[in-house]
Amino acid sequence: MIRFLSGRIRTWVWPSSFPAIMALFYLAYEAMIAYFRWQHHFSRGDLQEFYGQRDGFMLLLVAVAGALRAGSFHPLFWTDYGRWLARTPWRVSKPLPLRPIHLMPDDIAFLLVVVLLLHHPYFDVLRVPLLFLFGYFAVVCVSLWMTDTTVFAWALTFGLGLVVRFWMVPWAALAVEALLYPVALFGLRRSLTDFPWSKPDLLFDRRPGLKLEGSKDRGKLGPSTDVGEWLAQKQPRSLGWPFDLLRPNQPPMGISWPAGMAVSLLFGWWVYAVLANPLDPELRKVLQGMGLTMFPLMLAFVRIVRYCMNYSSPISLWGRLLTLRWIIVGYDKVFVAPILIFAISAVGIWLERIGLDQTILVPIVVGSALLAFLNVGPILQNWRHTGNHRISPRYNSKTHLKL
Amino acid sequence: MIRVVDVVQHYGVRPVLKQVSLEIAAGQMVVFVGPNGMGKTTLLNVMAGVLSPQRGFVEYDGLRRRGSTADEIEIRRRVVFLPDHPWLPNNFTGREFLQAVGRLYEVEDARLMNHVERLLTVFELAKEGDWPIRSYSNGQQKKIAICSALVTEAPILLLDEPFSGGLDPAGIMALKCILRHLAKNIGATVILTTPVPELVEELADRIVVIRDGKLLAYDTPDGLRQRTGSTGPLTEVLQKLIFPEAMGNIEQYLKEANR
Repeated sequence: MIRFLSGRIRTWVWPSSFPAIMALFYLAYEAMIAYFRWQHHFSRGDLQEFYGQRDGFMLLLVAVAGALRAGSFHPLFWTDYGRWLARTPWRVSKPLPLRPIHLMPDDIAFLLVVVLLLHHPYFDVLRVPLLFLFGYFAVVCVSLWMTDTTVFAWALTFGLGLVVRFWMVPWAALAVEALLYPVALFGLRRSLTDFPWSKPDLLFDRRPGLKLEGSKDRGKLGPSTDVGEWLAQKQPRSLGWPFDLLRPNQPPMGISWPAGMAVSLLFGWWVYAVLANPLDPELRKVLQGMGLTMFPLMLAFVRIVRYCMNYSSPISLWGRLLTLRWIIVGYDKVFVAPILIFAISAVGIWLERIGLDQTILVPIVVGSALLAFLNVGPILQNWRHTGNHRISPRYNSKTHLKL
Repeated sequence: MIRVVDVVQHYGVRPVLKQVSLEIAAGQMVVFVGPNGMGKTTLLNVMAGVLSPQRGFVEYDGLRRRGSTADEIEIRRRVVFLPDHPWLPNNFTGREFLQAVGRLYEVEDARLMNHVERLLTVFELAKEGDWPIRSYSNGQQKKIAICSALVTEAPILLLDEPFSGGLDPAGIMALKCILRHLAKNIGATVILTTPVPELVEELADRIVVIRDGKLLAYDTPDGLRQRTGSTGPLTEVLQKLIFPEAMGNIEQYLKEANR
C-alpha cells in the first residue's frame, strides 16, 4: 500500500518540484488575503482565520515533504530503482547514486524558507521542523519495519509516540525528535547494510513506478532473462480454488507472542500519548468512545472474518442443534478471542461508569483488546491447517471464474 | 499408502458418510462410483482435507490429515486435489496460471516451462494458452483445470469427476492416457470419482462403490464380477451392485407395456 502510494505520488509529483507546488499554494493564499485586505480594508487581525487555514495547509504540505524526502529515493519504495541498484556493486559504505536518504543542508535551507514565509505573531515556527521531521520519521519507521530492522523500528515507533505526547509543547516535541534522529540514521544504515533484502516481493512487484532503462522489456522472456525471476513476476496473487486454500507453502501467518505483546503495549502507549494532550472536549469524548467500544468491536469483527472466512463450521447450525453437538471445541475455539475482546470492552465501559480516569483507562482497554486479538490462540496458521472446520471457498466472480 | 479409517461425516442432521474405512496402496488407480448424492465427493473432500470428519481420520504414509501443521504441509506437498467446480483466476492466461501452480508445488523452473508446453499441446490449448482464462469455453476451462492438477507433478491425485464438465472426446482420451501413464509408469496414486460406470472398466485397478454413505464394495473389477456372479461388462456388474432392484423394475415395466 505504502509502496503503491509512494509510486503514485512520485509519478504525479517529482520531489524536487514539491517545494514549487508549496510556493504556488502559498502565493495563491497570499493573493487571496491581499485581495481581501485591499477590497474590504481588513486588518491582519481580522484575517486571523484565513492565516490559520493557510498555516494548517502549509504544515500538512511540510509533513508530506518530510515523508517524500525519506521515501522518494529509498530503494525499498522505488522498486525499479531498487531492482537496478541490486544489480550494481553498490554497498552501504558508498553514497546512494541518486540522493542520500539522510537529511542534508538543503533540507535545512528548505525549512528556513518555509519558516520565513509563515512567520507571524500568531504562529509557532517550531511547528515547521516538527512536522517535517514527523513525516520523515514516519516513512523511515515504515521502511525499518518492512526490512526487518526491528530494534530500531521499535525504538522509533515508541519515540514518535513521545513526540505525539508532547505535541502541544513544540520545543519539547522537537527535542525528542532531535534525539530520535540518530536512531533513524543508525536504523537506516543497518537496514541498507542488508540490501538487497531477501524478501522477493520487495523487489519484484508488478505495480507501476518510474521506469528505468530496460524495464519495459521485463514482460518478455529473452535469452538472458532469469527464468525464475521472470516466472516470479508473472505469479498471480490468487490462484483460485483449490490452490489458494490448500497450497502447500502458505507463508507464515500470525505474530509471535512477544511481538504481539510489544505491539499491544506500543499501541496503548500511542493512545495514551494522544489522550494525554489537552484536546477539545468533544473530540476527546469521541476518541474515548471509539477506544472503549468501536475499536474492540472492530477487532472482534476482523478476527472472526480472518478466521472464519472460507473456514465454516463442520456442521450446520441446524445440524448442531438437532444432533446435540452444541459446542464443537475444535471449531468454536476461534470464538474465544472475540468473546474476550467483548468482555474487555464491557469491563472498560463499567470502569468508566464508576469514574476511572479515562486517560489511563482507554489505553489499557485498547492495548488489552489488541493483545487478545493478536495473542489469544489458535495461531492462524495452525487453525487453517489443523482446525476442525469445513473449507468453503468464497470468491469474487469478477476476478475468478467458477467452472 | 492411504488409509481412511472409520470416517463419519455430517453436514447437517443426516450422516453423509457412515463409518467408511479403506486402504489404497501407492501406484493404484482407484475409482469411486455410485449414484448422485451418495457420498463420493464427500469422501474425496475428506481425503483432500476440505472437510474435517466428525469421526475417523485419513492418513497418507502415516501422516495424519490435519494432525499437525507439519504433517498437513507435508501432505499438501504430496497430494493435489481438483474439485468438480474449481475457481480459476480469470485475468491470467492459461499458461501463466499453470506456471504459477507449478511454482507453488516447487517444480523446477526449466522442467515446469517444458511441462506446461506439453500439457497445453496435448489438451489442444497451445494457442489459447496465451489468452486470458475468462475467454475460454467451459470445456477449455475444464482442460486448464485438469492441466493445473497435472502440472504439480504430485504423487497423489484426487480428481472429482474429471471427465465431466464439457470435456471433448480428445480431452477425455488424453486424460485417460495420462492418468494410466501416471499410475503404471510413474507410480502415482490416482483417485477419481465418476457417476458414469462406462469409464471405469478401462481405468480402474480397484473400484470403490458407495451407496447411502456406506462402503458397498472395494475390489478389483474381476473381484466385483465374482461377487455379483456376473460375467458381463462392468456396467452390468455395477448396476447389480448399486441398483439391484433397477433391472427387475425395468423388466416389470416392459412386461406390462407389452401386454
